[in-house]
Amino acid sequence: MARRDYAQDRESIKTFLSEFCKCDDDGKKQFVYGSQLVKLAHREQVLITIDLDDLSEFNESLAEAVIDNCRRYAGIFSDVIAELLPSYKQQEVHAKDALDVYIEHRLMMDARVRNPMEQRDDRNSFPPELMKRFEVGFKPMSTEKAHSIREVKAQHIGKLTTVRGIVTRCTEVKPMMVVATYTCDRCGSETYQPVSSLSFTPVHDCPSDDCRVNKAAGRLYLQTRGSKFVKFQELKMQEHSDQVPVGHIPRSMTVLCRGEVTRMAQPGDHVVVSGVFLPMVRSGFAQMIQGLLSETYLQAHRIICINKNDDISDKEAELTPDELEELAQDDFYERLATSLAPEIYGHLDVKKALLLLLVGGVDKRPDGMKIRGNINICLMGDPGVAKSQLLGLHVPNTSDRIFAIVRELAGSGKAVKIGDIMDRCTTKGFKPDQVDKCIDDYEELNVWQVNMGRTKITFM
Amino acid sequence: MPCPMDMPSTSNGLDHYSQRDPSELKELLKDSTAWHAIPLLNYTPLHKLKDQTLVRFRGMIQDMMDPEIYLERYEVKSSDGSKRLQHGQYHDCLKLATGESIDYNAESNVHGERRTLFVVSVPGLNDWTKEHEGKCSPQPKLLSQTQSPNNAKKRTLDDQEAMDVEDDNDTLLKRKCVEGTKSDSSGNSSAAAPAVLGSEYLINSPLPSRPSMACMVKVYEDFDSYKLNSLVDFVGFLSVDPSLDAATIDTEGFDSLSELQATHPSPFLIPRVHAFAVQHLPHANPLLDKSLQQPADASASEDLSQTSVHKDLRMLLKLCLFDDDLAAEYLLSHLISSVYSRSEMQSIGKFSLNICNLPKESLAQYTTKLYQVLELLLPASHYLAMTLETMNTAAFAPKKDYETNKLVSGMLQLAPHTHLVLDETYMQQGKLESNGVLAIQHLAHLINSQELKCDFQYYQIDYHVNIPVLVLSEGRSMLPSDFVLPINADAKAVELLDESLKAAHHYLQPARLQQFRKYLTLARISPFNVSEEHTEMIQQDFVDMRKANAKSNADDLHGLLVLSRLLGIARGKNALDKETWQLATEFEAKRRQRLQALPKSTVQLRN
Repeated sequence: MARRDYAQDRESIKTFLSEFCKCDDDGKKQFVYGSQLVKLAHREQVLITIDLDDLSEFNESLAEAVIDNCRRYAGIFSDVIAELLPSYKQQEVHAKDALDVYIEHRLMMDARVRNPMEQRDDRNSFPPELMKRFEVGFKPMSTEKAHSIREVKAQHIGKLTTVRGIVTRCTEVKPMMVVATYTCDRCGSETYQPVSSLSFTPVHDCPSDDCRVNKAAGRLYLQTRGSKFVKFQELKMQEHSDQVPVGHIPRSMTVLCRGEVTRMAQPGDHVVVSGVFLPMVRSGFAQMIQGLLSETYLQAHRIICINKNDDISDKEAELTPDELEELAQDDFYERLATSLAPEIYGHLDVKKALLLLLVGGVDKRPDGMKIRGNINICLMGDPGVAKSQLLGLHVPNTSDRIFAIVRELAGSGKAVKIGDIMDRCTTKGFKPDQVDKCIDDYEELNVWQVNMGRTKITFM
Repeated sequence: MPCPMDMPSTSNGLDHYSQRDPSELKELLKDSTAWHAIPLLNYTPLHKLKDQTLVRFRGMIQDMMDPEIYLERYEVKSSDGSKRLQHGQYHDCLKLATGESIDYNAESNVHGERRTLFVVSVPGLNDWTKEHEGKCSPQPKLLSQTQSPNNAKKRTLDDQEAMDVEDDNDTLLKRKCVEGTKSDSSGNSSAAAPAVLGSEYLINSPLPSRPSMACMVKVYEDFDSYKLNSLVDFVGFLSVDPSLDAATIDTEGFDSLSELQATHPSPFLIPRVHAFAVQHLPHANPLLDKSLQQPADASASEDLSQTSVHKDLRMLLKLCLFDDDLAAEYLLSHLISSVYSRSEMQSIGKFSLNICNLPKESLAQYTTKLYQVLELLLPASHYLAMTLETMNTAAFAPKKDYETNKLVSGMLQLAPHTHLVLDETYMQQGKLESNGVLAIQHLAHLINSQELKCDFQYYQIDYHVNIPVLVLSEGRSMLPSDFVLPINADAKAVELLDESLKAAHHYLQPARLQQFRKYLTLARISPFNVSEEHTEMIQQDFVDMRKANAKSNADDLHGLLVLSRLLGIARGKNALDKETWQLATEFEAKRRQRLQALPKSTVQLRN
């Protein structure tokens, strides 16, 4: 494979960021990234997400290169953005935090003191990481499929990978040092040390010219204020049960989150994580026991929680003009009511009442007074007039519906035979194990007690 | 980092092998005598084995860890600038002499993948099985011979060397131990509050009352062939380097101390084995195991025909079951049952048996005594008295502990063909707490579908198991079962119970016992066919059965099929015939009659 020309890629990234646009509905051009750069320049936005779909539209081979060598291109992107940002600044930005002030002062001092012609020691110049106040993330192509953890193999190392799973553990969010800043106690000059791994060795001896030439042996002291930290969180994720082959144990994976992708997920969340799969470099004693081993992790670029509600995507949730028209008709109330349990004929009055029950709730008035907005309904009727079907409509939880049946069976008595419950529930279309589960659930809640032989329950 | 590995012990151990092609080694191991000659780690005290020697470990896969990426080959730079390549396969630590360092960025480094399996010795293995397996294991003094089986000339020399080395090697290991504990304690005092995990937790025996031995086996190939709970015999290199212990290292800076400890327990507690040859075991019976060298006396006993052994065994069981012939037949069928096929929802071949209606007067000791007889016959079994306390407190199904990333075992995590005997006569009045209810559910699920639900907190995963369950109860059991058989106790036999049990024990001479043991395992794994013509006969019978009794359903037919299969196998047949089928229908009819005769009051609603 031929080596890519990074300088050329740099140029095309620059063009992409400043010129990529999409046409909106009115036919106007929208500079997707240009507008984001303005926000970045004004410190109104921290994370800029590059959609690889867009990049691929612009330059397909570049997008592929980004996927294959993600970490490097993330660096290039962030350098390019840092270069571009000053030109996007439209107004003076006021400092938001201590680091902003710090950077501003250093830049001013630098301009004043230094001779621009003078060559400077690399370590004494400001590392670009210190100045960047934004983060770059990649959004994988929409065609990219989410892998299960066991599909991620050595060939994925260094690549942008998407993994699906469940979060089992997460650490608290801690500050992680990105650039360590030191001051010398002799010459007062500042030294910077960019940190790229999980640990670093502090510098002690001042490398500045003054100290070196004078052999002053200046000691360096770490400056917390001048150092740059990012938020850092470690997640453990595990495969979904449907991704585990028969007879195997679910696999897990470490995900490291930095900056804006922290605090996105909690244990128990189902997530899709896109990130770069990388080997972890341990040092010191850990290397000793694991010298032969290398751990791997996923450097997260994007974390999405998939909850049940997200099954409906945004596009489907939006109403089309036709639907709107349909809904705007006069008999809206009746239409909604009839669409409740359409399999049950008639009973429009009951359905209307149930509809109101569904949309009702406690209404809080602006003056703070609570006005009761909910209603309670008691359904009575002969057997087999679809009372429980209507109930099922409102209570999706089967246990609660079975509970309602048991309550009904009990009447005013305290004990009910489990056999009776089973009979009634099966006629209503429940499965025996659902009934069992309900009986156990409510026993745990101490609503009732089941006798030893599991023949009857007694209400507490 | 120099590891304390360049000891004399390595010189004739692994290096000797790793220089050669592993496939050549495997070829060597195909010879069963070579396989036999390797000492079993299960029955050899660790201090008798040297680091990096060939050992064998037999056990059940209890847990699987995440894959490891390791350096298969790496470049080592010496202080004088020279370079050499070192193999990392079958090693835990870097192999460096003093002054040498590893070059992580060398072009010639090769990465490989390996998996760690957490293997425990077969849970519930009975005493006789252990004893027999122990006898099959060669003593480590033979070790040096096995190391160079193709090098007969050198053998005597090696022998001597091994003898010489042995003594100081022992002391060496001991010293290492001491060092390990020393640094451990010093580490403890410096660290604020180290959470030390108990050895019981680390070893993770499924049956806490009968502790297993644990071993971490690293495998290098065929990763997908390893299934949870299956029985495997590994051959590999022992690795007991003390630096593997997480307790010896400075743990500052690690967030998950307990996880580190769980993944790096002391190698003297849980040794590591780097496996390069593997045999999957179809059963746990050492008498029929080709991977074990049978002691000379065992094979001497004459093999009688299956039918006569079957007759003897049935007699014995009848003696133990209050002279009840039918019960003896059912129990025998139960003892040779095994799940032989699984369709979507069903596990075909299971034969869980509930023997109920046990006579009250002899109840107290009877169940344990019956189990004592079964224990002698079966390679692995477990007796569980279902007291309220055990039900409410014991761990039944395995549960994932995310703090330590371990699958904490439960009582039901048993190897295939491990018989579980549940004694319900110990159940008293009282309240089953949530753990107890859960335990009952797990048991019911196990009996109904031969699956074990492992709790991964966020979801549960079903694992296939093959555990025949025998429930002993006074009335009908609260647990479901495939066959409920009320026992027809002969009044005289009840009185004579003690004598007959004594007679049974007396009858079980070693030679006869061996026969029974072999017979049971052979019957369990033997194939059985149903021919076309008999399928039609069965179909016709089922139609008639439905005519006679509208209530009979597919489950009844299924029960009949399983029973006839097992009856046939027990009689040494390998295909169904009319006779066996009729026998099965007859037995089922008798059983049904007894069930109906069972007083209604003891029949409980929930089945």
